[in-house]
Amino acid sequence: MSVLIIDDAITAQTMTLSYLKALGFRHLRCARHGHEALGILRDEGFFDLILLDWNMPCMDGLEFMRVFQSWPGADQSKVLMMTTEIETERVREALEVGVHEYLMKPFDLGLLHSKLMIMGVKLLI
Amino acid sequence: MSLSTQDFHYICNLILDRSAIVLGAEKEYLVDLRLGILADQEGFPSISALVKQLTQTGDAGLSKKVVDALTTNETLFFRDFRPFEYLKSELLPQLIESRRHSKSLRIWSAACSTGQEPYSIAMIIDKHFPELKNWQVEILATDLSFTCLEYARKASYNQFEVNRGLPASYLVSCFDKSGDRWELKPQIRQRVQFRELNLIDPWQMPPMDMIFLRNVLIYFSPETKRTILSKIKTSLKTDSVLFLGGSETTLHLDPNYHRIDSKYNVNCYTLDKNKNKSRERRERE
Repeated sequence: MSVLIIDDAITAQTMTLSYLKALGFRHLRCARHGHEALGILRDEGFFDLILLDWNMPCMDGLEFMRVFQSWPGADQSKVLMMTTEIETERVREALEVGVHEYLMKPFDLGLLHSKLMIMGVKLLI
Repeated sequence: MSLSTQDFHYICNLILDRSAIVLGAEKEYLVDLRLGILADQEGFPSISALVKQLTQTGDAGLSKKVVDALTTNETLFFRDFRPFEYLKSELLPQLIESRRHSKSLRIWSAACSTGQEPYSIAMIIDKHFPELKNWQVEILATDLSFTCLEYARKASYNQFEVNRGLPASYLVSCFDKSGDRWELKPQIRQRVQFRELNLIDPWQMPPMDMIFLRNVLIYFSPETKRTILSKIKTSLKTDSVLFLGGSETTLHLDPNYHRIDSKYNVNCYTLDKNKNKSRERRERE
């Protein structure tokens, strides 16, 4: 299963990568913002799972979703938003633009695991 | 604070006596950690001073607090997820069909801890089964720990708790944010009745349509498991369903329970030995 992490914070990227590796994922890729992620998706094709931050420079998570959702075949990817936005309205907005699940930062391996289970993501361990 | 071997054995016996929970030597760290916190809260200079108070005075209130501190177990919304998918997609539709004349459903969450399990059931009913509005649906939630029950009744959870296992669609439709807490909407909270109950004490329950007894039996000796499963039987109708935790079984404990086959691969049992056959028949038709 391929995973694309979109987050401008290097520490958050590193931490998420280590959690995903611990959960058995091997095909991992990172982008620093939505614009860079769209480039990767255009060049390399769709990823099974996208972990998406909300607040990023160039193109934030919500803008990314609006563009990405208009691409044919985008529904092949499951999207988990991971963010410091913790108000109900924000969660609702994210679901409305097509995000499948929502994880509030900070989170640990167990929390990520529980969200991936809800999303029906097949874990390799 | 540290725990002497003698004090550890005293505490193990107390817990065994009051809750039938077996604390093995590997749990010494847990007893040390949790009793250290309790000793602090109660103003004792050490765990051994707390144990001394128990041995010398038999302080019933303090004993209860010790049992409470050591039997509080973790829980989360929609724990293991699949049992709740099964509940929503197979079991509730079946029960709605078979109970359509009585229009009544009774559900028991038998070790509800801080309430996430019974509230997960209540959320499913509220969100997906509007046809049950005119039914009498009782969700009873019991636990040994009064602190857990107090927390559960408030139905107010922190970010960690709602982040863990709760699907975002339920978060936005079933909770209101208040400061840094997430509060369950009153119409869902009111569906659950909480009561203090120790499973090893004598109890009587009306017949239930489903019982959630998940991750409870693992703490008991085989003998206590048999006793509890036998008592639980008296509260199950023939076609009712008992949910156990993923690593629990009735095998070699009680031959009257039959594991239900389901595509959700959940660990549930019924007293009806023909249930799987009738399901296969329905699917063929």
